[in-house]
Amino acid sequence: MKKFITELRGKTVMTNDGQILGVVDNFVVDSLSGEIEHMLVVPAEELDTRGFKLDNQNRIILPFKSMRAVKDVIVMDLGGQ
Amino acid sequence: MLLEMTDIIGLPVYTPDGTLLGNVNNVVVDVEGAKIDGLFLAETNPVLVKGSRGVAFPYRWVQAIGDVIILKYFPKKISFVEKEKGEEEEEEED
Repeated sequence: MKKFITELRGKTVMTNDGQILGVVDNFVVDSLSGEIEHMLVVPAEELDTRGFKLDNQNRIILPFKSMRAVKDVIVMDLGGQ
Repeated sequence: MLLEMTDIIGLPVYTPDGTLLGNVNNVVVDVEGAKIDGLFLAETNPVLVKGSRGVAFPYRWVQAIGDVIILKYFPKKISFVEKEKGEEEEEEED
């Protein structure tokens, strides 16, 4: 499936057990290979961000490979988190 | 080099011979492959693309991304042939 980056930004991100994590802000890519390494998510207000890796703008860093589905929302399979 | 994907949007794109192609409008993402599929430019240099039409090209044509984007390949000239049914076909002239 191919998507424009502008379509993905602003989508709600949830875990596969239904917890809302926040909203997609950006993606980190390796400019040489074009591979997408991480997804940067602005955390939802009620979310306890302890236990998540945050960047210097307090965005949650999630591995892109954990992404399971993209439609109206983005579903992440974070395993033990 | 790691960079945030939206930093790519707006960067000018140059061909290997130094011609300005245009500015990046959007990035096409291959969701399953977890990689950038290509870059999309809504408006292009009429010297390279007939009628300044929008183009998307594969990411493997990208040589480097910094303050500008440099391509390692771009066709000499792209023109469009109108088909009978009104469909359009891309044609490259080298």
